[in-house]
Amino acid sequence: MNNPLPNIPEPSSPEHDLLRNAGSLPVLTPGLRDRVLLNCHQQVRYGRRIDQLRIAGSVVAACLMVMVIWTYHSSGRHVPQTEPAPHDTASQESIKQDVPPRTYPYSNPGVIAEDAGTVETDEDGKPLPQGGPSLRHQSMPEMKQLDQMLEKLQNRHNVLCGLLPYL
Amino acid sequence: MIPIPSSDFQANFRNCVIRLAETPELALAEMFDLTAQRLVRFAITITGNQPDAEDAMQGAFSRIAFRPRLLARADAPWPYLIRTVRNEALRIIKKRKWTGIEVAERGAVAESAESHLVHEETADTVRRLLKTLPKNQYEVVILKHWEELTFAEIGEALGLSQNTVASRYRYAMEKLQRSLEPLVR
Repeated sequence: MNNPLPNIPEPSSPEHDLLRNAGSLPVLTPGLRDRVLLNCHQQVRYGRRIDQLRIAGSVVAACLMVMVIWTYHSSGRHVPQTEPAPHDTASQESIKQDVPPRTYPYSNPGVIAEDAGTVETDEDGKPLPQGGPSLRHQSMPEMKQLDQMLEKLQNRHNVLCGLLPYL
Repeated sequence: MIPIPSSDFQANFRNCVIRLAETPELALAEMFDLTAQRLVRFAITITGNQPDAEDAMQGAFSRIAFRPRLLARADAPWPYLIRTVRNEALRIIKKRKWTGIEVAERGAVAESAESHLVHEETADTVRRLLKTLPKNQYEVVILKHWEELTFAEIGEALGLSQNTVASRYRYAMEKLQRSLEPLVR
């Protein structure tokens, strides 16, 4: 790429002087100065007014933003506690029975803090041997129901598997 | 009217621009006295007639009065003002084309320049020769010789790169020198 700048001489030749001298200034129309300056004064005033309105608008917008944020935060702190809707207990229980358990129903057989202080005894009053699976879950009616359901499912599985043809 | 030397002009113009933010009315009045004729002279090269050139200059002053900070913050205020005038002049030309009031002045002037070349005064002849240049080259030569702008400033005023401006100037001067040789002798 060639750079044209170094090849251009400074305007100093007679041709350049001719060009420079040809640039005489025009005589302006009478009254143009007053007309232009009057228009300028109006524009200055108009521009100032627009600036003031813009500043006022920005302040109002900022205040509104602060108000909205403050209202949002204050309403977030005092959210009224909504009471739970009355449930149909019977239907809830039926749902519980139908829903299969997500996890295996046996609990951890380790020592439970609540049971730690109590020592179970036999008919003679001798303490029973500790350890083994906790029987605590058996006391819960829901767990019993779940055990029964699992047994039923296992039985159905066995029946269905028996019906399948041997390959 | 004797034109102000370029260095004084630039310094005075910068003073006006500095005062534009504080006292726009006074600064604009002073700026008008300082620049109006130069701006109209430049605008005539685009519009082809003085009334439109004066309108372009008035439009540019209105814009500056509405937003004085634009000029005050410009890196090169004088090329910025020239550019504003140029944009206004181009807008007027476009409007004129839309309204159908086409002034076919340039061609007519060029023809009359050919026929009356010998009888015109030197300055007039040079001006007519300048008008035979393509418009983009004409602008560059005017800004270089009449407004004494650098190529960088002309680039700023016309929205062109410095190299493009320099190329246009070189082509224009090659053409002009052939035409101007008889006048130099």
